[in-house]
Parts: sequence; structure tokens; C-alpha cells
Amino acid sequence: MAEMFSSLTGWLSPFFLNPAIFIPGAALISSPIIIHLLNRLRFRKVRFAAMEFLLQSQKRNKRRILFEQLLLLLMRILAVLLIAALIARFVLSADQLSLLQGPRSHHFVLIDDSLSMRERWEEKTAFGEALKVVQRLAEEGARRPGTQKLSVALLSDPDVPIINGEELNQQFLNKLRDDLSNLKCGHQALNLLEGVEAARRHVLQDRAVFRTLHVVSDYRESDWGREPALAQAIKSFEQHQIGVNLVRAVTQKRPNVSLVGLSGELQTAAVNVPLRLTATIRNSSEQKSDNLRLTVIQDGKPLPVSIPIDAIDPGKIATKSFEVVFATPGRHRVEVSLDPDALPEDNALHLALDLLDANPVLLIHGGEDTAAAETIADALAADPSLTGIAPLIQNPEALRRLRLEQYRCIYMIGVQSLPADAILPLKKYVAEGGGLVWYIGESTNAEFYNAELYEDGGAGIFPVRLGRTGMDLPRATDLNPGPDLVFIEHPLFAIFSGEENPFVAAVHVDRFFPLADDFPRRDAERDDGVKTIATLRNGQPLIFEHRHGEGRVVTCLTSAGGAWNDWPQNPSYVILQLELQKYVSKTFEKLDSELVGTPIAISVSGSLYAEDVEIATPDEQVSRIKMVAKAAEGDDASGDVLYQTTFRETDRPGVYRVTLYDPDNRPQERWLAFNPPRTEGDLTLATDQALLERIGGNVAIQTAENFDWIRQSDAQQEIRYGLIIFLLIVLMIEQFLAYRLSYHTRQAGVAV
Amino acid sequence: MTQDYRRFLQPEALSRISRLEIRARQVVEGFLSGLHRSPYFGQSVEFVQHREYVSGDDIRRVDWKVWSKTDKFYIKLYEEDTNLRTTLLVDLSESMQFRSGAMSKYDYGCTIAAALAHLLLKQQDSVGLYAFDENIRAQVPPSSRRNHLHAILQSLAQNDPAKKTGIEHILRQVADEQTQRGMIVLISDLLVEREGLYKGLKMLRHRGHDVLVMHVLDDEEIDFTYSGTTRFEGMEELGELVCDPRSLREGYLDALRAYLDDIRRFCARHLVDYQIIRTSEYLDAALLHYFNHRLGMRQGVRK
Repeated sequence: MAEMFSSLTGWLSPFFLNPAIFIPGAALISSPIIIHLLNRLRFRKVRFAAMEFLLQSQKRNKRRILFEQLLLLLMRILAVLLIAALIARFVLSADQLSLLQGPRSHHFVLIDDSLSMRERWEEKTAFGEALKVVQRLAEEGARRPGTQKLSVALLSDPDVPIINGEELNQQFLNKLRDDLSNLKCGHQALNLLEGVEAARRHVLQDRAVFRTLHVVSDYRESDWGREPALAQAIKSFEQHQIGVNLVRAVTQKRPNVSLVGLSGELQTAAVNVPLRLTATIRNSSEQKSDNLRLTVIQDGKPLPVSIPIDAIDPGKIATKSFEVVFATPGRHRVEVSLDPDALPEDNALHLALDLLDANPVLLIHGGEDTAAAETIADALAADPSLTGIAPLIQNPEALRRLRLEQYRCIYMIGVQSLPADAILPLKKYVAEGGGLVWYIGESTNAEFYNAELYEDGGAGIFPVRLGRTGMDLPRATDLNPGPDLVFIEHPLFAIFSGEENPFVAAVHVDRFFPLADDFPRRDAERDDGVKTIATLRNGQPLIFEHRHGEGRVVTCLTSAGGAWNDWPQNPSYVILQLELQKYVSKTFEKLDSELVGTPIAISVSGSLYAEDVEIATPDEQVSRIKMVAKAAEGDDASGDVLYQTTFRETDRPGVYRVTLYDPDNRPQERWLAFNPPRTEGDLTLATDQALLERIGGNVAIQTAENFDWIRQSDAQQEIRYGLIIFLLIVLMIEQFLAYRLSYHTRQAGVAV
Repeated sequence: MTQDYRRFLQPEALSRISRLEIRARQVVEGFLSGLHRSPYFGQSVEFVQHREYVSGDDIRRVDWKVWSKTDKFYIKLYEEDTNLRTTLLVDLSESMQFRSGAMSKYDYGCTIAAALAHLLLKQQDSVGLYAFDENIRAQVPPSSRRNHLHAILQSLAQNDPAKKTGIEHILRQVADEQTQRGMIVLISDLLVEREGLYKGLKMLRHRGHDVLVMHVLDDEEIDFTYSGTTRFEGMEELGELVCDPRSLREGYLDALRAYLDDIRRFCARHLVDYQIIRTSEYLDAALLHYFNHRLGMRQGVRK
């Protein structure tokens, strides 16, 4: 009997939230029949005289009475049935009418664990609210064991659900609590489209009758407003008859101020040289933010004074610069932070520096005379403790010997030509982000430059084709007035701009190297990415800037020293050299800060390092990883092995310390700063209307705070209100029939 | 039969009845001078009118004074004062035993009969009685003696109704036996075979009797207010029926109404006085209503 009851309960479970209640409820439909029969059996006797009329009436009304009584009985049975269905919470969807598909539901919950889900208010966080939805959904499902399945995936890893099609029952609930409490919200900006696509793939694998995707997110305008493909992806669920519930974990926008940038001239940073850093702050609130203070933490120690920031208007960005000085070489870190607000995680940025006593700059001189190189060296580092630059003067042969990547930039000063095997390392150096400066001199071999260093379309490390030999520039006369140097607006010369600069105007250029006769002078004609940034009085281009791979190249078609011009005697020379060095070296900056979530890819030569690597996360969790050995390929192939690994646990913002070991087991550290994405700080919510317009009307938008929808949508849609209306109609019909059949006195009888 | 026949003459009812000024009829055949006028023209006291002589008329009644003046034969017509000769027909059939209130139709009918007998005897009219069901169970010949009431009451009390009503042959027998015209008062629930009833009444009218029908019905028979499942067991072997009476009420009332309308139409057509009396009505009210009604009707008819 109990077995039969439980199998019946199982069969009914797709239709009722409380199938166990419905069975006794359905049994109650016999009550009107029994009452009816009892009424027929329990009667009183009357000896009646006027039977003649009674029998006539009975004969005439027999069929009608039978019909009406059966109808009344039916209405009462129906009323009892409906009440039982209401109490047992009848649920129905159009698909459910097809019993062949089997009575199972599968809920796939995709939880957004991007940084913005860390928003907090009162004692809650958006992510915490999202977990509550899962918990509540599971609890509702567990009330009907054996019929509901749950999968939960985080948006940061949607292809690997943390709960995969688990049956919902009491035992699972206990486990779920532990699982959910271990989940942590990430710090990244995540791709919702990928998450939804992965969820669809996963849900489609399941053959359950009712499949529902619950996307629990904060629904920021920044995520949902800019991704039309996302709306399409959500829409596509409808084709597969998968219900979609968009669950809002956050219902209102709260004020938030974010630190969106931290930059500085890191390429020139050196011991005891003040490093100027600039923090960028964005106010994403609806109101003005004031009383903001920036706290700077240098190597874990806060600077004694926090920096006040002027009030920022809504939606505006402000910058604040400050200087830090490091007394020792080596690795350092800087953290700047604002006071916590709704989203405290985007109020801090980290910076990691590998500080040298001085930044090495390689100066390659062309001939025996190193005067030009020394002029530049003096300009860069007359006092190394002030500029933080350590110039090294070498001849072109050094390009083959030295590890070029250790230099911030390389100057090529009047170099005649390069050894064949020096060109490639130089190209590689620049392509990987190194800075290169060309100065031309008397001994410059134009043919070599044109043949070996220049490539069409600006693809070479030398930007232009040169003429055969240098050319004199006559001094200015009354007929030919004006300064010899004409700067075109460019960051490199920004320091000279804004006013007429007497120092630059005083520079005389006597000789220069013209372009090849057939080489187009104007940038627009060439359209090869090479930009002319300074010309001579006669209109001949003098200084070019172009990119080669990741690196910057600046080319000057006159001499570095005083041979062809008197610039070194001019005070602007030193300033230009310092700016030039900063400008070309700048590409190193990006290496010092990554977005959280970006994997740390390590690939080192087996001859230089051991196979083990240690990576310490900002919370001091140290992972020791054995790298994979792989034969070197391509240009590096020399029978060497490469040790490679990729570390993906970089979700937490902060400084990660990567420690490699050389063959002698001496550690070599490199620090990497990981910062949160700047887009997540905008907490503007996409409105329901906007969501529905983008996706279409076939999704339900719920809020995590209100759990009622879970009950309703648990196995599709509970038709409670429909049942109540139907019950009311049935009761009204029943009352009408009962009234009609009870023959309430409409007249006192026969008039006598 | 052990019941006391005096129960039909309750003191309160009697006292009320005694105060009634019943002018039963203005024209009644009879020999006692009283309040009643005879419908018949005789040789008595009061001249009514002249009529032209036709052959066969009694020559003694020719008014010779008129002849002497007009040379035409006129007959003098007189109005005779007479006493009322009333025959009470009381239905004692089983259906009369039905009751829903304090009195059964039988009790009520007997009470009416007793009251009428008392009234008429008080006016020195003569009263006779037939108590019947399937057959005539008791018969009391007409008499105007005051102690005649005792005999009438006794015959009512002695008859315990049990049989099915068979009205036609009873009315026929009454018509045959009551050769002298008078008033016939039928007190019954009329749950009888319709054709027989009509034939009998027509026969009485044909014989010149004034016929009063007092149709005694119980409240429940008229209003039919039963509710709840009920098994109706028919009196006079009319079968039984289990039903929800409320569902049949409308049909029942329709059938009853049709039956009563039919009787009313018949009585109106044949100048039979007809009155439905509820067993819940006061006897005096019922009788007063009846006699007023009858007086008005008769006067209109004769003129």
C-alpha cells in the first residue's frame, strides 16, 4: 500500500508541488457522492393524501431532476477536486500535457561572479544574494524528491559546473550548504555571452522535460547594454523550449567611486629618483563625490599623509599625481586606495616595480670617435642619481654580445653599418617593446641602411630610404628666415610647446641627411605609419617616429653630437634627450600591471632555469609548480628545452611573486601586479524594460530578494490564480444549481 | 370508536358561531317560517306577482278581481316562508385523516359539519347527515329537533375513516333519497375520481338542490413546504415515492392548481357553491366567508 502511495506520489509530482496532499484530497471527491447517497437512504416518512399531484409532478420532472442533481453533484465533486489541487499546489505548463517526456525538471543556475557582484549594502553582498537564490531553489526542489535536478555554474568557469545535474533531496541540501559557503566571488570582468552559450550547451545535453536557465546577475548596463549577441543568445533558449529566468541580485544603483588607473614614468624609475605616479579616479555615482582621500601604501607601509582629492562631478574622471621614492634597488610595490564604498574592491590599484640603481641605456657609436655618444651620455646621466639612467657606450659589435632586453633603450649614433648577425637581435629587441633611437652621421652608409634596415611600408627598423650623402642647410638669412628646427605637435616635444621657445629657436642645423630623391616626403603619400615629427626650415623632414612591433623607433637625420649642428650646446638638448629616452622606453610599462584573471604564462630556457617555479599570490598562498619541458622551436631552436607553465589563479588583485631558480638554485623573483578591470566600477543597472526590449518578452525577470517566483516557477508555472478563478466559477454554478434545486419559496403555494 | 363526539363542538367555536348572523339563504324550500325565503311559489302569505294564465294552472289561483277589470285571466303568485332542509355529506375516507397541524382534515370537516348542524338546528331548520367513504357509513335523517344534534355528532364520531372514497354512487344515492329540494353541503378533500364527482354534483343540481362544496385541504397540501429527502406513502393505496420534495414542489403545485381550477370552473358552471377551506383557518372565519359569499351569489343569480 505504502509502495503504491509512493509510486502514485511520484507520478503526480510533476503536476503538484505537494503531491502527497493531493491523494487524500482527491479521495475527498467521494464525499459529495457519499453525502448524496446517505441523503437518499436517510429519509423521513410522510403519509400523504394528495399523492396524485405529487406523482404527476414526479413523472413530469423526473429527467430534469436527475440531470440537475447529477450536475450539482458534479460541481461539488469538482469544487472538492479544485480545493485539493489548490492545497496540493497544482502546476501546469503546456508542455506538461505531454506525459511521454517524463516528469523531470532541470534547473541550471548561472551565477555571475564578476567583480561588480561584490557590491555590498547593509550586511549583504550581491553574490551572497545570488547564493541564497540557489539555496532556496534547491530547498523548493527538495520538497519533491526525485523530480528535480540542479546544476550550478559560475560565470568565471561556465563550462565546468560546480554542481552538475544533482538530484534535489534533503541529503543534497546539506551538501549544498557547504558547497555554497565555499564559493567566492571573483574580481574579474566576465563575458556573459560565453557563460550563456556554455549554459545552453550544458542544458541541451540534458533530456529533462522542463529545463530552466536561471541567470543570477547584477545586470549592469555596462554588461547588458553593449552586447546585442547576448540578447540573441538568451532568445535562442526559447527555440529549445528552455525557460529563462533573469534574476536580479541587485535592485538599485548605489554610489561608487573607482580607481581606474595608476600610471607613471616607470621606465625611468630608479633608486632615489622621485617617481611621479598618477592615479585616475572615476565617479560613477549620480551625485558629486567629495571628501575623497587617496592612501598610498609603499611596500606595505602607508605613507604618513593621505592625499586629498577635489570633488568629482557625477560621471567625471579626476587625476591626482604624487611622488614616491625608493631607497633601495630591487622589487617594490605600490598600492593606492580610496576609502571603501559600495564596491570596495575597485578602490585599490597595485603597481610592481623592479628597480635598478639606474636604468641602463645602450649607446652604440658608429666610428672611432665616441664624442657624440658621450654627449648623449652626458645629457642622460650627468648625475645618475638625479636621472636614474646608466648609459653604456659600445660599438656595433656589442649588439651581438649583450643581452639587449636588459636595456631600456638603444641609441644608434652615426653607425655606418651593422654586422649581419646584429640586425636580427636588434629587430627582435625592438619588436618586443624595446626603444630605438637613430642618429645619422657622416659615416652613415645610406646604401646599407636602405638595403638592410629599411623595409617598404614602414616595416623595417629604419623608417625611410636615405639619399646618397649628407646635405648642407644654409643658415637663415633675411630672405630665408625662421628657426632651423620646426617641431610638429608630438608628445615628445610637448615640453617645448605652448610658447615660443628661445632655446629651440637658437639651434642651428648645418647639415642633414636628405631622403632618397624618389622617396615621398609627405606622410600622407607614404601612408606607412611613419610619422614626421620635426622638419627643417627648408621643409625637409628631420625627425621621424614609427613603431616596430611593440617598440618605438625615433629617427633623427642629423648628428647627435656637434658635428652637423649646435644643438648639444643648447640647453634644450638635455631636455630632449631625457624626454626621448622616456618616450621610446615607455612600452615597458604594461608589463608591470595586468588585469586580474589574466594567466601568468611562463616560458623559460631550460639552460638558464630549473623546472620548478614558485608563485605566491597576494594572500601569500604559495604554489610550487613543476613546469613542462618542451623542445625549443623556431629561432631559439638550439637543442635547448623550454620550461613552460601557465598559472591561472590570478583572480585576486595584488602583487604576485614569481620565483624562478637558476641551475645553482638561486632564486630570481619577478613581481607582477594584477588589478581589477576598470569597467566593473560603473554600477548602473539595466532596467527591466531595457532588458525585455533587447531580449524580447519571453524571459521572466525576477529579483533575488523576493523568493515567491521560485515557488511559482519551480516546475514551470503554478496556476494558482487560474485555479482560484475556476474554483470560484464552479462554486457559483454550484450555488446557482443548489438554489435552483432547493426551490426556495417563490410563492406561498396555491392561491385559495 | 371511543373518541368523544363532543370534540367537534368546541365551546369557543360554538360561542363564536352563535353570534353569527347567518342568513343562509333567502330562498329555501321548507315549511317553517323563519329567516329563509322559499324559492318556490305556493299558497302562503305574501303575494309576489301576477302571471298570465296558461292551461293547466289551478283555477283556484286565478285573480278574479283582475279578470273583472281587464277581462284577462291572471294567476296570483305567493311567496312561501319555509324552513331550510339541509343535508350534510361528510367525507370520512382515509385521505381525510391527513394532518400536518393540530387538526386532520377529518377533524376539521366534522367540526364544520357539527357547527353547521348546530347553527341550523338553532334556527329550527332541519338537518340530515350522510357520513361516507367508499360507501355510506352512517346516515341521520333530516330533523329540526334540537336534540337531533346529538344523533348527528354521534354518527360523525362513530365512523373511523379507512376506505377509499367512491363518490359517484354516494351522491347518486343521496340524490335519490333526498326527494325534497334543499341544501346539500359536501364536506370533503375531493381527492376522488374526478368524473364521478362531477356526475354526482350535476345530478344533485339536476334534482334542484342547492349544493355547497366545502373543500377541506391541509396547509401542507396547499403549500407543500416539505424539505429533505422524504418517502411519501400514499393514502388510499396510491403508492409511494421517495424524493426531494423541494424539487417536485413546483410540479406538484402546478398539478394541484390545475385540479382546483378545474373544480372551480365546474362549480361556477353548474352554480355549485365552492370554497376551499384550510384546516388552519378558524372555523367561524371560514363559515362567515362562505355564507357571505353564498348570499351574494344567490341573490345575483335569482334576479
